[in-house]
Amino acid sequence: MTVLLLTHRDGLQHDMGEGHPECPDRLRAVLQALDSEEFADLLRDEPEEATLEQLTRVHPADYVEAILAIRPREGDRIALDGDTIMSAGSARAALLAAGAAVRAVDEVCTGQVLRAFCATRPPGHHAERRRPMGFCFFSNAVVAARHAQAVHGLERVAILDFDVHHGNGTQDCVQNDPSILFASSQQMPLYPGTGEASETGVGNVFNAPLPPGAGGDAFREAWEGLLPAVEAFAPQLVIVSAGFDAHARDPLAQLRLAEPDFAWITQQICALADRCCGGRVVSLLEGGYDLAALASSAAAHVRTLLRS
Amino acid sequence: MAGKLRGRTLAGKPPGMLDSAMPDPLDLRGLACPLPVLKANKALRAMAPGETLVLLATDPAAVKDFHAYAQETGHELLAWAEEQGRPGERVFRFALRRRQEA
Repeated sequence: MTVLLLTHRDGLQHDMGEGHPECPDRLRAVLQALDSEEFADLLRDEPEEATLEQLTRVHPADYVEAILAIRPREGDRIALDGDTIMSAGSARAALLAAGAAVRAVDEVCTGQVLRAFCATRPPGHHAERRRPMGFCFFSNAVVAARHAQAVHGLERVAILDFDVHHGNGTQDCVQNDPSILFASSQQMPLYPGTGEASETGVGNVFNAPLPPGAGGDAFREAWEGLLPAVEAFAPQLVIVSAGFDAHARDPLAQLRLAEPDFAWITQQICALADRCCGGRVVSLLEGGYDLAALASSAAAHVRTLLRS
Repeated sequence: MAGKLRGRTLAGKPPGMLDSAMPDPLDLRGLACPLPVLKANKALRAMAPGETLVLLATDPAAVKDFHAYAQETGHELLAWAEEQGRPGERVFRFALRRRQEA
């Protein structure tokens, strides 16, 4: 299987300060894991920055301009909320993360590759249409979905989110848009506090909350409940918000997943994509804050993208 | 690491993502039965209902002891796992959640 890895070294220049768990070392850890011999078949390239046109398919122009206008001097930081902080390199990193998602869609939708994984930061699934939140600035997944619709003429796109936190931003961006399905598992109670099964959008949103302490069995059961709805939607492209913070070692949550659980969900998603849309999967890195668990889980994810 | 950031959120603001960070685990390595359970019990009693205590222990008897402790007290043993320790050392990590009623 041809799988493209998109990443850019300037993703390391987004620095929210010492001790912040969403740190440049996360990206280093993932890339180091994907550097091993078994990933030699990955195609690798660098993305370009997303354009205003691509971003404003999701976010209002004044929001995008306001974020991009925040350019602290080298060494300075500006906190947008208690969690979400911008340094000198943050705006560029955020544009590259969204740009990678767009590029991944282009490559997958034109058949250049079957699947793509974007090893990028900042993540995106907490960013609402007009609010940065939870380490996120732009909704990378929805920017990718709307790009697939606007440029490649797709009608139905599914976004599947297994990050341990609820993708409130993704949900905010798509909950009135029946052309995009959003299915998500998350620990509840946990930040950001949304993600109840009763949140269904216009029939296009599917949430599976999991209690603290839940392990791989509960996670798999949750997705066995979600995936039939995704398949019934018959997506023409599957976008994955791949967060690895449901791992038992993660410091920001209390689920108990292990690497085989991430391989399992990846395999299920690939099999669904094979049945619905010629196997087309675009996966975007979201959270995961234990460096060793993040590296080994992302490796399990990409290994499965390559093999299934 | 992330635990240091817990104080950053201003009172009255909705909790942020960093507020869910686990504090550093209570280090009970090297202690033998019944000290790990006694010290964990003391720490849990100082916490609010629903809060989670994470601790490390090296006494293999702690596995049985914390299961029994959870059964007796009603505090919930959310998870436990054996981790890589120093050569020749077994390390166990436990997550206990304080029961709801005081």
